[in-house]
Amino acid sequence: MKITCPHCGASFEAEGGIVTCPYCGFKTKLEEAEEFMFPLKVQNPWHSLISFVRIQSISPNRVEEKAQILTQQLYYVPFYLFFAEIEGSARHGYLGKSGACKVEFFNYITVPAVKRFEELVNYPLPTKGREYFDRGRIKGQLLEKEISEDEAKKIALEEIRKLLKKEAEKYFRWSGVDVGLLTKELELKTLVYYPIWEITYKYGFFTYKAYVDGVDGRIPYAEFPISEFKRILNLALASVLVAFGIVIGKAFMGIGITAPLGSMGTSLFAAYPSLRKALRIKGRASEHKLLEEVKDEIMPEAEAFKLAKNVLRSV
Amino acid sequence: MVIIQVLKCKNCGAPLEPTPEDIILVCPYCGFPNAYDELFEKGNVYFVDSVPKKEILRLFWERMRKDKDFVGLRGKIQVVKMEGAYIPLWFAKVRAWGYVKYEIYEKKDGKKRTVIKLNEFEDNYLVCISGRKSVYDIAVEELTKKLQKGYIILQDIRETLNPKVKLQPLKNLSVEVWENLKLEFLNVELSREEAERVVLDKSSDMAKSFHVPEEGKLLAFNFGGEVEDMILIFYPLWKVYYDIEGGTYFVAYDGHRKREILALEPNRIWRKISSLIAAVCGVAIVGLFSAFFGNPYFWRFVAEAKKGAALILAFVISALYFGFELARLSGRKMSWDVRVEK
Repeated sequence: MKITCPHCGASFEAEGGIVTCPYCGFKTKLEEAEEFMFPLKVQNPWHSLISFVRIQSISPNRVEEKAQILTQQLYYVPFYLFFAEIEGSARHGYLGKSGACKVEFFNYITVPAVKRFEELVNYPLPTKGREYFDRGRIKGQLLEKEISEDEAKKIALEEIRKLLKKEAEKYFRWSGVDVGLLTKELELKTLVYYPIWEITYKYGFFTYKAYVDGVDGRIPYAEFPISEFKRILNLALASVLVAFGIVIGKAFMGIGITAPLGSMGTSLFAAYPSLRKALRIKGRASEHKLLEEVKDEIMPEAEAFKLAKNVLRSV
Repeated sequence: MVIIQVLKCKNCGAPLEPTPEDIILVCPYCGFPNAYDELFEKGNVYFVDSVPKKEILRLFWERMRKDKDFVGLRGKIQVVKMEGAYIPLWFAKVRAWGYVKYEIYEKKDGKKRTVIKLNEFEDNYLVCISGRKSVYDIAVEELTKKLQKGYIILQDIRETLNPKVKLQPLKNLSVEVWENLKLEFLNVELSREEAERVVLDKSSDMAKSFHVPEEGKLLAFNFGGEVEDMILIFYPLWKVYYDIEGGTYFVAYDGHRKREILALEPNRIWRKISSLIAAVCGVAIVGLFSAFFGNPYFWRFVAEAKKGAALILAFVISALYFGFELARLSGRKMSWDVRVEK
């Protein structure tokens, strides 16, 4: 490769190791660089956080008017970046496991090298703009590694096992899945120091915590207040559903006494996601996980019909 | 290596600082994509034209006018930001093989019996993946899914893509052409070797969705694959961010084919209510069919049916399952804050 002598500025071809400039004799050491960093781009994390909290339908309108920032701290969080080539064998069943189906994970996976950021395991780092690590250019608080490479590998493997389990559930339409890892090639590509803003803010009586990505303003994790009106709306929708469960149970009780059990149990099950949103003290969301949840539009009637048809055929 | 390499931008002459992203080198001053890797020499890197920003904005407003979800809200929509960029996409032709083994019920001479079937497959796939390490971007992921569909797969990947995607070699990208494009080129972050592994992972997922049978009990699935040809294409992706009722959402567009990729929208109250109605229907079905289990006449009817008893019970259980799943999935949908329209 072509290098420029840092002493006289002459250009010449060189390979790795110690290189001597053919013009001035200056010696330069070319080393393997293993650590990188990202320059901070988001200067106003509060703005990004508020935009995200506003799209949560259960958050109060104009949340920014009553919220009060308590702390706003920039951390440079070290992340291990692995390239994983993992093959697993998936089996399923609750009483006894059966089946042997191959599942794969060939991709990058990230693990924070500090313990307090466990919400950020497999956080998709936008590695565009990565630079060689330079301690002098760090603007916030640099966090030192707390987790060894081996511990990080264990965390990564556990995360991959969960992803493979989801893959088997999705493609094989299984439940009660267990995944055994057949090959575990996990290559550490680099250690990246990544800027993450940690914000705590007060709204009403409670204090909320959030992280903001310092490179592109995404929100890896945020707690937020729940609007009373929206809490009531979710509670009302869930209550209507449970009430219908009771009414339907009562209506069909003349046919059989098991009707209320079926209808009320089902209505509670169906109302649970809305009830959970209505009754919890703080809302919690993650930008990349939120989109992951809703990205596959579900057609309840078609899905339910397909599942029921399978049951009918197997009897 | 710490690379102290002297490179200058072909467009503005600014010194370029090589980064670990080593296939193209985007000038930090003017944004011109400079050739930096031997892939260019091999003619494996392409770009496609993009429609201008104003056309994307026109498509956005046309969509908002037609979308029923925005009835009564159209005057409140505010475009807050527009982003466009050339994103690197790896396209690969993959030869895949494997087998699927499953158990199925078949009727022969009026009797139902279990049959184990083994289906071997050998396929050719066109696979598209993002050339960036960021594992998750919903718009890029959807774009790759849309771009890999609907081709007759030929030996040469360029010919396969030709009817729908008009490729131009990136090595021919002159400064003049690039200035007309006015779009940022995002750098490639997956090397060819890494991209090949990711392509094989995706091919395996494709094989699963094609070959795992919807009916029957799956016993085994195995997959093997080989990447036969691979090219890198810089593809224009646009996002229009808009504000409505205190929330920010976006619509993503394929800038080459002028098509919407997906739209992120608020889950309006009428959608929540329609999910509620579907959930109530599910609850009603479960209520009705679960009532049979507590009814002595039903059990007498089943006992009298003799040979038909299993069929009656199967029908009731399937109906219960249908009702339960309908209620559960509709309840989940009812709780969503945002929805994705594709």
